[in-house]
Amino acid sequence: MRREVGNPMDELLQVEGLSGGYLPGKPVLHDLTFSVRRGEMVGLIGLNGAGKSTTIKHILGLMPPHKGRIAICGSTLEQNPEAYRQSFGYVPETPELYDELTISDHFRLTAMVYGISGEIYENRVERLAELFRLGDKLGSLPGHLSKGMRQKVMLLNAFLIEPPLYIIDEPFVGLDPLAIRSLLELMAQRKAAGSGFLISSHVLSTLERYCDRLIVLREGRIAVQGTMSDLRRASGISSNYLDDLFYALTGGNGRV
Amino acid sequence: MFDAKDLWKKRLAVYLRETAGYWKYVLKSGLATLGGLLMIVLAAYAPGLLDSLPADFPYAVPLALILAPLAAYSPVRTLLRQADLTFLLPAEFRMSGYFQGALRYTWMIQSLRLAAAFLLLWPLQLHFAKPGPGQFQITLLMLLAAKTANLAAAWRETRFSRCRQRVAAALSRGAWTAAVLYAWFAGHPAAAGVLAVTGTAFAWLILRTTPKYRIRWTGLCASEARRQARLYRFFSWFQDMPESSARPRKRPLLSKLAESIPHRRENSYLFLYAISAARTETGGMTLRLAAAGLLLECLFPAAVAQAIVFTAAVACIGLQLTSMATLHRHALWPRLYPLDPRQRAHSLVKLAACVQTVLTLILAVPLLVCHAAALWYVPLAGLVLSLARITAGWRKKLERLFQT
Repeated sequence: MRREVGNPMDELLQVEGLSGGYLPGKPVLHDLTFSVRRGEMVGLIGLNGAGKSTTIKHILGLMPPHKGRIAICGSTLEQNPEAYRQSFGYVPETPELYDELTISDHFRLTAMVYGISGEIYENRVERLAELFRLGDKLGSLPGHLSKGMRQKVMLLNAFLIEPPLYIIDEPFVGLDPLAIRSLLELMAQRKAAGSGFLISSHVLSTLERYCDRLIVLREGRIAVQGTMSDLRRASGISSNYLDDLFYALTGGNGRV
Repeated sequence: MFDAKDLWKKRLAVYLRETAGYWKYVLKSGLATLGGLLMIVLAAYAPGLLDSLPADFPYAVPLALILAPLAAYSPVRTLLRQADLTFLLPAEFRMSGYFQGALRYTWMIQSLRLAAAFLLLWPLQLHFAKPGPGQFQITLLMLLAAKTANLAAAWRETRFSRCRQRVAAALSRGAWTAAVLYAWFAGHPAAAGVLAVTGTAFAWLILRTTPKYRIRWTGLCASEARRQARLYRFFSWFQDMPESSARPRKRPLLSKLAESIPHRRENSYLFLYAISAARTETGGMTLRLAAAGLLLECLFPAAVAQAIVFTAAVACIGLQLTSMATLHRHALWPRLYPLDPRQRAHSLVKLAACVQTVLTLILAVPLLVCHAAALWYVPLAGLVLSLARITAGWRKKLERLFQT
């Protein structure tokens, strides 16, 4: 297994020797080490139960690691919880909205929480709502929105903060083709501005096209990480499709 | 073989078993003792209170105003769940046994409530109308008949396809019931009879001609969730309860108040809780308690009555406000916010203290207008004690709750 080594100053997310899980003494993640650098998009892939969501929960600080260290922009949760949490935006797999808040209330609350001034927040919301075609839904309560619309709200909420690091779990589920395109454009813009992305998804064709590096998880361990070329080398097949490499690496006829 | 009747029985048994467990905590909390004490005080002061009312007191108005909502408001406890849309919907044509059980149970509970209220208010009728022998039984039967008719109509209204029609039908039914009860208590039984017959005929016509579903599943599930949430919120005054989702309402006026909170980072939780309370039953119930307290203070201006109503209203508002602790308790986002977790408890305390102060002062107005010299200390004590409860005991509990 190959470990990436980069300039620590460039590393937005550093995960070093992470072991963890729901029960003490019964880790489901084993010695994970990886990073996400500035201006980099990293895909986290694996079969169901491979440990993708558990890894994300540890990064979010929702579960304490059994072993290892996680730092975002140089801060760990223990050292500086506010700086740690300020440094990332998260999009969950299933939209998590406050039923009592309208869509614009959600954005205002997020702006308040992350210390974004009223004027900047209004400009950003206007731009993002137009991009995701949410303008006429700002006064609606979440209960009146479709799942796709709710997912758009989640995305818009994360992009409103403009954090250094984005952690996105299955971003494409429920989105219409236009919204997927808008999302990818927006991700490219933020990436160009220096933000990093950790994306967990099963839509391998999109990850293959947009991600700089990929981390393949298998049974809580990193089976392989690196570029498409690295994955080709590790799998021993010469396909240009991530689908084929993934199949080989996670239980097909691969060598890992 | 699917047996709808049996399913209802099983669900009701589970529901009653679960609810009985929570009622134990309510009884242990001392509420029963307090209620009993209040009843003794009321019973002791009732003759004096009644004597203090003027001879031309319009006693039929409070009787009709209190009993009409209890007779007219007839939501059916169906114990339906969201999953029933998948599993029971296909058996829609075989569900009559289930809903008959639900209607019987609802009738029993709501009739008991109505009879208890009538029993409490009977001295008012006795004092002013001097009813003849058998009048109590006849009035009770009339009230139960009103409940039965209202429940039957309300059940059919739940099937109306349009919301406006459901609301209009319920409001007209409520107004008609109030008119019938007023006529009855004011001593015009013939007018009450004519109103009842014409109302029933009119309702029958409306219920026959309005387009409706066979069973409006989504509406029944939503109202069931709302009622369950309300019950859980009440129990949450005494015990940690699982969250139950009820559809929030927009309440533009109250929401505007919350939206006026300045856009500052330290106000984040204040904004979240204020707007959530405004749009949920927490805010709605708090305001209803204050309005009911104010109305009763105006209806019963005697010093003791006003002091009792004021104290009860302030205490209930305090209990209702502290149920805000359950709002967003298990939400994901507050665990990710880059905010000091202590701000959460601080904002809740600030919000509850602010609302408690405003409503206590409003409730104090009738008391101070009528009995400022004799009872000036009652509002003061009410305010100090309720604020002390929020800022001391409740704050500590919240800080423990939100510790990360």
